[in-house]
Amino acid sequence: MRSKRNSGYIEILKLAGLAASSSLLGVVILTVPQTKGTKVGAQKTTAKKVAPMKSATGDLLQADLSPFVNKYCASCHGKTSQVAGLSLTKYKSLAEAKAAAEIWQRAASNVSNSHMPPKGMKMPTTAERQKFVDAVKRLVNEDCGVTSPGRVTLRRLNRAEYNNTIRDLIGVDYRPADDFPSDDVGYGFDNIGDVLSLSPLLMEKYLDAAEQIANRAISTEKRAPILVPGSNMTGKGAVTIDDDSADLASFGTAIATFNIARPGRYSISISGYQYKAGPDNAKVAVDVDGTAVSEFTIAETREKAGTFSLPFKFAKGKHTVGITFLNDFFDAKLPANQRDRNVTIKSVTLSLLDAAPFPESHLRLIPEPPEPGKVRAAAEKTLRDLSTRAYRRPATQEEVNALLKLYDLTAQAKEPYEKRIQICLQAVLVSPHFLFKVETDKPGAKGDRTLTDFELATRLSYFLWSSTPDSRLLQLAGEKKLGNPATLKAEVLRMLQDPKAQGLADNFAEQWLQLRRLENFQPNPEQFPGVDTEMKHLMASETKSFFMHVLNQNLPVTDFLDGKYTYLNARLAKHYGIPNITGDDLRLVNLAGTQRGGVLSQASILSITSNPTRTSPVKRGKWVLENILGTPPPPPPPDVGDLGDDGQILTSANLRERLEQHRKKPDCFSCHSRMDPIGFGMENYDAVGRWRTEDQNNKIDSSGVLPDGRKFTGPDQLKKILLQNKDQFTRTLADRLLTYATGRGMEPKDQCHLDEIVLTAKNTNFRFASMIIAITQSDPFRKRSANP
Amino acid sequence: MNHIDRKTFLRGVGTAMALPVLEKMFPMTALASSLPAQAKPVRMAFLFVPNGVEINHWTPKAAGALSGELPNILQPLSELRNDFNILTGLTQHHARANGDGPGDHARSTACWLTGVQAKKTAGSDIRNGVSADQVAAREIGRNTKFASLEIGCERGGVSGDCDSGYSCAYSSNVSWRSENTPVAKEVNPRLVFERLFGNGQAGEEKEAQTRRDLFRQSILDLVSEDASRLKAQLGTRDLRKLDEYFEGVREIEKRLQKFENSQAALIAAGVGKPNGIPADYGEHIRLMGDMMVLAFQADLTRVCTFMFANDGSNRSYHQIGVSEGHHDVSHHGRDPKKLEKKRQIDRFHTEQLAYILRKMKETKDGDASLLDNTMLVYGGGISDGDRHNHDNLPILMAGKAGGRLKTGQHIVYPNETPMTNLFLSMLDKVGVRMDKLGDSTGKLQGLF
Repeated sequence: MRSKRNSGYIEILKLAGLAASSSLLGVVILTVPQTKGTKVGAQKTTAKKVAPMKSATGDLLQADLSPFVNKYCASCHGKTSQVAGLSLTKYKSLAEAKAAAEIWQRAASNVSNSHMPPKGMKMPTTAERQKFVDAVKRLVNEDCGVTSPGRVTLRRLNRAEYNNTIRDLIGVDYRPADDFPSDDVGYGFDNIGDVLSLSPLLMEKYLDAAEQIANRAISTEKRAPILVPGSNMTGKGAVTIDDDSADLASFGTAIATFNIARPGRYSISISGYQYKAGPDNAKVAVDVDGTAVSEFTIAETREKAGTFSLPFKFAKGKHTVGITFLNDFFDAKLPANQRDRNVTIKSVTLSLLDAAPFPESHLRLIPEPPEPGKVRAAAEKTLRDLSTRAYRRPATQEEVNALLKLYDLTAQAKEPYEKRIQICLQAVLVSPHFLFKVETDKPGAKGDRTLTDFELATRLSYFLWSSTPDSRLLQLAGEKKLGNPATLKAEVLRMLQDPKAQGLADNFAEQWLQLRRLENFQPNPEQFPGVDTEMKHLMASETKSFFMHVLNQNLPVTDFLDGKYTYLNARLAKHYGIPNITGDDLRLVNLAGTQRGGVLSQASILSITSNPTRTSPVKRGKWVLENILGTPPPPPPPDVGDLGDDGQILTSANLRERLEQHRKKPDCFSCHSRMDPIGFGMENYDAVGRWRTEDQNNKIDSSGVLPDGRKFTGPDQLKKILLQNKDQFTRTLADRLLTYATGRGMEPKDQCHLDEIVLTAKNTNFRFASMIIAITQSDPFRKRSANP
Repeated sequence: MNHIDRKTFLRGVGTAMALPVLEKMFPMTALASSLPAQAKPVRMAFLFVPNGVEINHWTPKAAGALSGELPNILQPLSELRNDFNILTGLTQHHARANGDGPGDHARSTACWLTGVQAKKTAGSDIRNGVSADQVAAREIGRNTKFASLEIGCERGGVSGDCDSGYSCAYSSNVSWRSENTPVAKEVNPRLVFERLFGNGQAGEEKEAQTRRDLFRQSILDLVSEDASRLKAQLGTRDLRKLDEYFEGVREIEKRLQKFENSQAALIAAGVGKPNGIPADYGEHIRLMGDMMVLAFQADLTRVCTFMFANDGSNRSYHQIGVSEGHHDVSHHGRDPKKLEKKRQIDRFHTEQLAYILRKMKETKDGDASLLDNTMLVYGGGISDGDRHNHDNLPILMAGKAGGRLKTGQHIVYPNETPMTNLFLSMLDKVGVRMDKLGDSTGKLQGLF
């Protein structure tokens, strides 16, 4: 699987005429600025240099922003009227305005794409619009050269990361975090440091999970042979129990008693020798719990004891093994050393024959039982290795000593070695260094700093794998090589080819595209029979496989909107009406000649943007504005009412009529004139994503007009329009990726960084892997600001 | 002890049978051992329902005794009418925009028990107030194994910001331990059970348990030191996260040191563990209600919040023939058909409430019933789901607070009376004296 993906990748590279060298994938490396304010590097791409804050006629606010606001905005967003709770005239100083950068940015975005001012109001010229937008850019960014990389708040592992980390670190197939409380979501993702809280309930779960994991990872099963020396046996008849053996002189039985904790087949090994006398060797009978099981002859003598073994299946509990001397011999006429036949039993040992092999997780921590005398040293090594991998950086001696202290306590409590390591493992798994992705600052540190190589390894692996760094990343970090841009790039490419990169689909794609909403989507079973849990799962899998395809083949990100291929199995193909696809496994399907292509025609997206009984052009339009264009509409004002469904199921046609009525209300117009047309363009797909040309005998009308007058009919033309501005979609994706990669919300100042990432994407034909590399090379990913 | 099938206990029995069954399962000797019979503690519960209610079918026509035919949504509670009050006119002023724009679902949820204007943010800088249940938990929670219990039927938001720029933390949590930290809720009845009664270590010998607790204590000592060392190297916001960590550790330590659990074990043995989340929503609510009742009965906690669903929930109610989503229906635009569906959903919720209240009434607690020794608030932070108004909230208060609360009334307060006044009065009754909670202006009159 993995090699296949690799070769496919290489082929694509060949097709693109790219050699595997420093220009691999044609990525332009963004050179890290050496000094603030200046950028170096031949291929450097930098955002437009912007003018300083002061202008000739007062500051930016007085000279550039206020005149525009007073002329075009204040009648609705001013002192007396504050539509949508927004006033743009309340800022008394430039500093106040700067503090509200996000509001200004939203205003600029609305002015820039002609959503504001709304129809019927006084309209600014294109030049005026541009001047306002530029002024807001200056307000927000000042100068991209000194933009801070931002600061990520201490992030704990979220549920998916915890599960994956346990899988990769410990090697047990167990998903304890499935039972943890939900992770809070912020900025669209569940890995945001500021938002992820750690409730006492979760702490409890961590502790319980650590115990369960330790129990599964390390086997405490008693496997060591159980030995009863002769001196611990009891005798019946003429038996003498000595310091180191049981001696059978004439007639009698030596009995060894065992307590069997683990039932199963054991080998009974009896070690002993005879005092030879007479013509025969000594003969003994063996019984278990008084029932004879075997007899054997002892030919060995005192110089070298012999061993006799036989298998026996023991039930749990107390058992005895008896050895009875059968053929005593005595002849006083013979010389002293040949006259008396006796038997000495040195020991009886039981060894488990059918013990299951140790699980891999056990061998990782305890490769072999420690040698006597070197037990604590073995523990120290194990605990150092374990905590180094778990904390994702070398464990300090202080940390190892603390673990050893715990180890000593368990040793004093006479716990077996395996149990001691279990307890220490539990401590490691609830340590803050394991549960949090720790990035520390020296007390009082100022300014920005580049992340250490270990911190970088952690950011990388949780971004691309949703899991802990592997040994190679940690090794490169240890050698301080990971931070080298070429190495970093090579590692990103390696990691994207690893099956663990599925983490990006499971966690990034699922949240960016909102696929997790499918879980709660309950279409009316009467109208849409057969859309069951499995079907919803298939829908999500299709989109995720499609996402991974674009990633693995390093295709342009615009394929997300218009790639003419997807992944289907027989059931899903039937749902789409695509013939000749068989089998349960999803496979790559060429969509040329069909009405489909890109996520907007996939059942997953079409379903989560529908109501249980019908499509919702509004929700579909909103979804596109949010996730594709990055211009989410504000929510409706309260008290506006909704489309009256009248209890009947609306057809596509009268739904369009209702929405047109709705748009006539001035409160509704500015947003719905953006959302509704996009949704209309997707009306050929029903509420569960099936193609349709009519709805209850009415022909589907899939035409729409965007606020700026562009017209289209049907999904293909709609997609063409959406792709006219590739930068806009790329920027939305860059914003989502950088948010997910860093675990913090984007701030106005991040616009500079996003500009650079978009520019890199543009210079590499919008290739997806190249964009991901650009993310990992960006300042917000590589650096952090000191404590504010 | 005789094995009693859980189903027999939890569902199938009528009132007539229930008491003897309970007595048999929980012999009074065992119950009595924890507390003197005459001084049973007062429990507090807050049950939250989303998206407002169809207020025309909720509010009784006149103030005074709840007599005659009750409004439609309250009818499932008819036989319990002497055990609760309907409070009209209470308001959560800080659930309103007050300049913050849209986001009523998230804001009113966050505000419901805090009376504080939640800071509008999708992520960083979450800020709300401490909720009434947590104020109580800090005090009366000291005496029980769990300071409080947080349960619900819907996990937190799965994607996107949850409501118009408000973080999902606001819309999925009514319980707030500090300004910045919501208290996560458990939605799986099996996990609630395991948490309350232990995780399958049945028959674990006393010695093994002591040993386990000893090791746990040592593990917590070790990691607390780790965390303390880390402190010096973190920034202000990071420290907030680490504080949560410390608090979690302390909670567990408290439990390790203090609480013996013989009575809970007895109850656990009699009931049996639920299997997980039932497919049927009604059964899910009832089962979570059972867990709350068990926790109170075994005195494992005295404070509980229970969210039937998160606000803005768009769940379909196929089981009662409403296939549209709840949120979609709640924006009824005065459409009679939608209003009717909203009424059906609201009534479905009060049917589940009736089950829970009956259960509490059937559960003996000292000389009285568990319901008698409880103050249970049921309602939400939105009045009309379409208008999103936060005055005149639908609030029901059940239980007699150990005989201190007069019930069976429809009490009409002047509209705009802060809901937090109710909480202030309730806290007072469990011995937590506070001058102010959120926007409270004093205690609520006419209740106690």
